[in-house]
Amino acid sequence: MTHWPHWLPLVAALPMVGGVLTPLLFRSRPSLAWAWAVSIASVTTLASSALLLTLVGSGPFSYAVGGWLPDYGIELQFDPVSALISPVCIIGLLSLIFSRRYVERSIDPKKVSFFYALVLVNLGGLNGFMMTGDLFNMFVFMEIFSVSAYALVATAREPIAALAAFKYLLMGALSSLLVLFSAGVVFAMTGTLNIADAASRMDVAGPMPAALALAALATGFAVKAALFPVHFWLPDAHAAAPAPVSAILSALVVKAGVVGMLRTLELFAGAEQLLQPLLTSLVWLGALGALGGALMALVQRDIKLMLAYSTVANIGYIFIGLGLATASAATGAMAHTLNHAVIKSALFLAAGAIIHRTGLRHIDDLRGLARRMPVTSFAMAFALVSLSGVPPMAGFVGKWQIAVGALQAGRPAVLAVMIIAGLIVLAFSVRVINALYFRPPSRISVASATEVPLSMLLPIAILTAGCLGLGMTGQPVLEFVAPVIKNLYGAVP
Amino acid sequence: MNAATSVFSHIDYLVAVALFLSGAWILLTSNNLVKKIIGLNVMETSVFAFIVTTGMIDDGAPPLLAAGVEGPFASPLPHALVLTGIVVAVSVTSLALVLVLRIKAELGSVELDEIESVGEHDDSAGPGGGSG
Amino acid sequence: MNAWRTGRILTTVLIGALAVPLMYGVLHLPPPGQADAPAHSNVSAKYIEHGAEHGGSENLVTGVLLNYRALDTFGEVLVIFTAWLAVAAVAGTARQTGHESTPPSPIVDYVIRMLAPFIAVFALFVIVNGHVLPGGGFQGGVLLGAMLILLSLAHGGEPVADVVSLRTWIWLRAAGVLVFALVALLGLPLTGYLFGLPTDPTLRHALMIVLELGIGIGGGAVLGGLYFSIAGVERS
Repeated sequence: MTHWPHWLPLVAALPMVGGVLTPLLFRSRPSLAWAWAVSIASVTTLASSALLLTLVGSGPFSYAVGGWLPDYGIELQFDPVSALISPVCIIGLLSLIFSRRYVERSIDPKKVSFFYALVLVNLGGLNGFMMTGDLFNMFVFMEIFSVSAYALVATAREPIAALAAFKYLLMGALSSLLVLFSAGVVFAMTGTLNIADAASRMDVAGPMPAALALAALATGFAVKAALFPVHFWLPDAHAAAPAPVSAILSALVVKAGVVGMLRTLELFAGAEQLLQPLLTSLVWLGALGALGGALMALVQRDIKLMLAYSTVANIGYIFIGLGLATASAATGAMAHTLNHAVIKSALFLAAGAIIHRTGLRHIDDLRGLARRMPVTSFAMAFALVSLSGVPPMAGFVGKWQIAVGALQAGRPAVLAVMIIAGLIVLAFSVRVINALYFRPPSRISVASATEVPLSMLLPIAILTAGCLGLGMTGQPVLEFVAPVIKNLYGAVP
Repeated sequence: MNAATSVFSHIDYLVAVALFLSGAWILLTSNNLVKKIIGLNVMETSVFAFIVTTGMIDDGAPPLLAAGVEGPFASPLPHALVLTGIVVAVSVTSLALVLVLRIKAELGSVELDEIESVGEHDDSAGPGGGSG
Repeated sequence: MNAWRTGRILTTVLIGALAVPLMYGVLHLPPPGQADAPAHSNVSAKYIEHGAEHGGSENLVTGVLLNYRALDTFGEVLVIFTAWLAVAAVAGTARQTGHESTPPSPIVDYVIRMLAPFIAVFALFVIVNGHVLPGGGFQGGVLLGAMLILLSLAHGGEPVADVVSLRTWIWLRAAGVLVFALVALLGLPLTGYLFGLPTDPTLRHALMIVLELGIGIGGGAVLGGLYFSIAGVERS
């Protein structure tokens, strides 16, 4: 048990170094590059699971990089929020397995090794971001996963992908600068960059610069998490990217923004009068995002755009939960962070399978597909039901807790918004399921489609099973994240 | 505290904030994609200037312990932060420039209004639909 | 045109509105330049006090970069390499840059060719002397990259890019990350922690120079590679 903490930086460094080695060793052998990427991701997943087990067994632990005490050096910490690393690695691994056949058709063979390299680097950056306890280190890891994400969006062949990636880059760089600016302000106020240390010194400087740092940090992470109204970079980027990349972006990268917001709340936990306006804005912006995202998803005809707007809606839910600041709502928000990751990755991979086989993206074109691609269609239907929040599926757990929290906090209007948004999600889910199952085919490629190969089906199946499995294990997950709430909000009902 | 002296003593920070906002204005309102990248660079530079300034000491020495140098040393931490930040800025800028090259090659223009009008006429080029 | 204009006016108003709280907030920070500000009395004071013996270099910034906050520097090396990965993955069809490099006048050509070895030596000097002078890995790497770009501007990118094979270029570019990773792994047996540097001064000095060289060469090669990709001369 004593040597497991060394795996903490390795869980971040291993995929990154593995990614760097990919074009060196496998530039001309795409299938070997895939095997290499999957092996690296598997080892990382095993290590992260071991870290998770250590956390469950003996509580949160930290690692002083280089042996320096937290004042001098960088401290990595593994707490229940960092435990997200484990599902991040699993989803990343499954997306990589899915990619093997998918990139054969959608990416230039000479670039395939670069694609896998970028995915591995992205994974490593996400892991590092979620485990670090140092404000500037967060910035560095954030840039690692962001730059690789911008590039991954642009690997798609459609002309629109480059423009979508460029807009994503501009918004992402803007938000990163806000985070960096805030790190500078925190340093000027407290003289340290360690989050725990800075939190304890926050009252020294007085409210005004602290409010500035909080606003900059919160805005930066809100952009990364695609909270309304700074969400508008997301739909084009997630829809234009190749399917496994869309899965990684919607399931994992935006959740890093949520984790960043959690760390922000941790940093300013002592300053209640500053946090209150932030939490109130999070609730309202989250509500607008949930409603707006659901409405926009309803009117889309392209399935990937529909799923992308649905991500905006679900991020809205998560921020409603975080902003309500009751124990029930906040634990529900964190559980939903995990559950939505599994559901959305299943949906994007299933959509990718459909596009890979038929080349079609419009929902009306997908009529009657269930007969020809039964497994994929079932997976998509199942995951959509889960997305709508039908019990006992995974989508229900988080939303129910947030709704309960809304009632506890005396905000029935928020509850009403959630219900309306939930109904809209149900509406567009039913529309897709109807098209898949209960309409005759209208396109030749649908009528002649066959099921996708096993390497694509297996990840979809596993994630779809998770849509139900996480619903059944909802209670343990909620209890797992409960200790974090006390740190974030102090005395909470 | 006298407002004027307060402004004067914090003039470095105020200039950095002014640059930051100017860069943000250029980024958000330019039509030309390359100008947007320039705005981003102005913002990045302003943040670096801000961070380095936080570590400075009036009449102090740079954080370099050489023989015979005394006096208060500037803090080395902001210097390290800005070095890393510059490398990150270079990375983002180079990727942005390559994306602009590709946009020019595939969509024919680097002016945003021309690109969007191309997008309106071309329905089959991937996802369209409402976005901000 | 009207929607564009109103968007512009709205943005101007928004930015003007943001200016007020930003400036107000920044005014309440401790004034820059004061020696008793929290920025100088907390972690910085400890760096200055112990930086030379524990950090391993008189240049405190290098000590912070390579020793205290080595994970940040590792991330930084990785970001610059990721930038090259990104450019290589994206720049596929960017060959239509269409520009012809105009051959410079003979004077410029001659001066650049004469300067290049001096630039390279100076870069090496900056890299290796990162301990006692302002300098270090990245600074030298930027000089090397600038030399490559200068040569490319003078002679066109192809002769410079073809000096070594693409495979070698990629290995050079990855040098930063790989060297750093190896030294970080070495930290485990030597100090019991990853990314740690040993306390023995000679060994520590040697490892730091190795790190600086890796970072410098890697950074320079990546910068050259970024230019080659943008100019469309990199073979794929």
